[in-house]
Amino acid sequence: MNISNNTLAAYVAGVSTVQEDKLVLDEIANNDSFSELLDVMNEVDAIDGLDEMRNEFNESADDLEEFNDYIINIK
Amino acid sequence: MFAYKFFHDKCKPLLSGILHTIYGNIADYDELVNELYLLLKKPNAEGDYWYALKTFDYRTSLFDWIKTVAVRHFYTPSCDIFTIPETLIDSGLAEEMFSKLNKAVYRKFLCFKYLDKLSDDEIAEKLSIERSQVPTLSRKVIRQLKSVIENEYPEYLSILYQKSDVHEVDISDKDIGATENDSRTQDSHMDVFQYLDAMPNKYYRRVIEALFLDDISPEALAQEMGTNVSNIYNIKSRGLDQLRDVALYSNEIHNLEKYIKLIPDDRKRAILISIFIERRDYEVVCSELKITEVQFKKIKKDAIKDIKQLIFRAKK
Repeated sequence: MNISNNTLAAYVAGVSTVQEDKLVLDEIANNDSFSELLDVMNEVDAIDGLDEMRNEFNESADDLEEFNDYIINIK
Repeated sequence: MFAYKFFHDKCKPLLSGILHTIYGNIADYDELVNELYLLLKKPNAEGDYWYALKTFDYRTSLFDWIKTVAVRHFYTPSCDIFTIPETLIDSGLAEEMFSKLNKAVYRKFLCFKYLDKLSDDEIAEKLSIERSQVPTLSRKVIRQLKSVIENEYPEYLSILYQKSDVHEVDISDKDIGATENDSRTQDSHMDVFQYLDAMPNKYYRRVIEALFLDDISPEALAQEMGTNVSNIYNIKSRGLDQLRDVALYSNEIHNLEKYIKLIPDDRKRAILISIFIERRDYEVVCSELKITEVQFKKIKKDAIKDIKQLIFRAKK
């Protein structure tokens, strides 16, 4: 499976390129395990309150300040 | 410390949801999250730490990226977890187990797949579903069947679900405190100590003994060994992996070396000989073969799959 985490995350989040979509769809067609993996991703996305968790994670200004050093470090 | 806190506190709601979706209620949260932490912290060949995390390209939020990485890391394809030995099918016990499932479509799926040995296309046609729905159905059925086996046929659980990633060798205190009359328990204690003695890495053995037999907390052990708690969890995970290999293969399979020599792939053969016959430290093997720990685990997993097939064919 040559699909990177970035490509897969982008596909699931709906921000992937056409080329990436093709890669993912080809993998789904040819690889049952990958297809199963996407099912699990969908199950996780359907967890009650996941959107709230995401918003809280992404929008909390205080918390984002906490990440500043971290983000600089990983760049 | 910040990154450690980030994964264990900040990501807790997300990771709890993922682990519950994948493992149900049987996972050790701290251990698995620590595994993810170490995966992202792992250095590249140049010794640059957080290599995996640095590949994040900021196209999605960090939340969505971590979600993807975590699902991908913890998810195991159902075909890698679940197997039914032919003996169970021949004896009719498999059919009896299948009949305990509450949904007709689940029972039918299992019969078509494992008794009639139909292909996924044929199963889709028989069940009047899309071919693309078969893997999803398969995963649900395998998970449902696991509940049945756990409740009604617990003695077969390790046979049918033998490769679950969260399975741990049971060497808890309650066994150690059993009565002397329980010869079966005594035998199992002897096995555990034999297996522990056979572990190539003494550092791993010390951690397993301390956590499971001496009941020392990870925090206290970390202090005693002059390391941090995350490292203790890491060693525990590797140690259990090594202990499982030792318990499953080194002492149980007659002529293991003969089967290993039949494996055509040089690297797989070298790894199997190193860990099962020469009983060498896994880190030394990685270093000698110039492979990362992740590559080592992958090759080892494939090699074990190959050797199982060889042994199965030979017994058949």
